[in-house]
Amino acid sequence: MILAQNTSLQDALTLFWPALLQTFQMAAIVLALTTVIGVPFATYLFNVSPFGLFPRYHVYTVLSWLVSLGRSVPFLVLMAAIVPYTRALMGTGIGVRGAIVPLTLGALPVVVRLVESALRSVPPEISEVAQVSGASRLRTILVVQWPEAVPAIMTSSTIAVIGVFELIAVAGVIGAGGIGYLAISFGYNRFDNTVMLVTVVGLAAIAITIQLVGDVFARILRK
Amino acid sequence: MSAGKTYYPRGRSPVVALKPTTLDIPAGEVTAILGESGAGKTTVGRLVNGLTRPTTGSVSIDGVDISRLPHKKLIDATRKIGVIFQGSALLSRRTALENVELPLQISGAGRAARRARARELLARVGLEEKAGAYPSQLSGGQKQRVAIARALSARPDYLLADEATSGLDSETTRSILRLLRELRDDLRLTVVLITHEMDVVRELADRAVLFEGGALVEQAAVSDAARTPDSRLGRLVLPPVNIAPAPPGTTTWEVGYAREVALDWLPELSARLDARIPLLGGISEVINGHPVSRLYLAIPSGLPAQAVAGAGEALGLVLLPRGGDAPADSRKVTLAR
Ligand SMILES: Nc1ncnc2c1ncn2[C@@H]1O[C@H](COP(=O)(O)OP(=O)(O)OP(=O)(O)O)[C@@H](O)[C@H]1O
Ligand SMILES: [Mg+2]
Repeated sequence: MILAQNTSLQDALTLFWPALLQTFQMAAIVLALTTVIGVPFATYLFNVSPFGLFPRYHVYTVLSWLVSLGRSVPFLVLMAAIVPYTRALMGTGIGVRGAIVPLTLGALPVVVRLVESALRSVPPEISEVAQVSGASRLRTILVVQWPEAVPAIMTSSTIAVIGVFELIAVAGVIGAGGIGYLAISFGYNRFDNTVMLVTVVGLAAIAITIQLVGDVFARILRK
Repeated sequence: MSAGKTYYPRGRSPVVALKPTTLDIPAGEVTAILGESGAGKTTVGRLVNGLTRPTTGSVSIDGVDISRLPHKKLIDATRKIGVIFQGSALLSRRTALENVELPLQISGAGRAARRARARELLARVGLEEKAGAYPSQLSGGQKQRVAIARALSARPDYLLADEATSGLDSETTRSILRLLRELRDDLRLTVVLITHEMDVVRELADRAVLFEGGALVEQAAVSDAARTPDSRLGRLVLPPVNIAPAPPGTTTWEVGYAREVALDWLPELSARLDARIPLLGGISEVINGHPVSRLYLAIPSGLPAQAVAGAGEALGLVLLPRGGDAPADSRKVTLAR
């Protein structure tokens, strides 16, 4: 009985490249969706907070509680819990298509909090300068809040992006594809050490690259 | 304005930041708003520039009541006030020039026009060559100059500065004050300075308003206040003096007067009170172009206060026992120019 059968490095890499591509595909879609949904939501959340342009205490409390709740649900539980909705929305509960909805939902609370805290780091007087110059609320957001928050968002976005890759790896467990799936199906279930090594090194390389790129961007943007 | 403001923080008891107060800001003058930390100075400023609305009363700018205006109209009404915030509040990702352009950009001016105006203003505050610098590359005084240029870019009639010079060294403070004075004269601005720095008041203010615990306690022309011995403002405006302690058996009295220092009345007073009157110290300053002096005399404690005050009055002087922190209400001064 063969307990472990190690693939050659050559074969492990042929398995790895398509998985890497899938991972990046998912990451791109999820990051685009969380940005498009998360940034406006975080902007609204910040501005109804006591530090914002139009504080609404109760609205803020409820929304903020929802975000915290979203963050506290473990991703695997979330993914399992929403399978029926995912099926209804995407037509399938598995594979890349099936993973997009839970991934987006899982990443959203993190992105919202990061953007909210970046907005909070902008001194309120700076928004007030725009207000006393006659800017509407939308104008104040576009001209002052967003541009001023960009460096802080950039700095923290490396955390969010690495977080998304982690979620994608976890999603691999339920057959979402990508590197996580490779690690589970070959490395774990078949005790294939070569595949395991390649996936671990691959994931680490991704995280390090993101960090480096993020740092460079942050340095360029900080004036 | 005639308004009051109470904050209602959640889960805490309400804070009366400003008790109902009536305050008129005369056009064309520099009015200083003074008071200790938490006295309500910033609250007054925020009521005037529309960033907060009064809980009671109303705030009017040039006869227009802004306190109940809908948001859009309020924005238009407060455009004629240029605001300088503490710590300059520049946008960190814009150059000096782009910062000065901000109000013009918001009011919809064309790109070329606002560039030209911003350059002109930067030149006016002496920062032409820093047009392309980001705030992090500017010194505190330079940032404040950019903030001043920005406050003026939309051609306001009023300039409201909340602690415009705090945190700057005295040399830089002086140059900022000189700039504000020139601008006031050139542009016929009405200036409101919120400050706790008395140098600022001495150098620049025509009028001063003193707040304490959210209440207006005194307002006067600075030079009047400075020569009124029982004025709290006057006490604040003149630099503190070190005086000799009163010799035994005597009490320190204070004389404030607004002439060149000529002590010809001193022998006269001595004769009238039939006492030797040593001079304990004093100060002479020029405030707003007016010579202002305050002298401290040692007068025998045995003499009835009425008699001393009367003797002073006969010589055209206001003589008062040195109050220190005498109750403000019992000696309320009302001054008119
Ligand atoms: N948004 C707010 N919510 C609750 N209380 C407030 C708020 N803003 C100001 N206050 C309170 O109102 C009072 C007056 O504050 P204000 O900022 O006008 O004082 P100030 O005279 O400007 O003081 P400083 O010299 O420290 O700037 C203070 O007791 C302050 O704590
Ligand atoms: Mg203040």
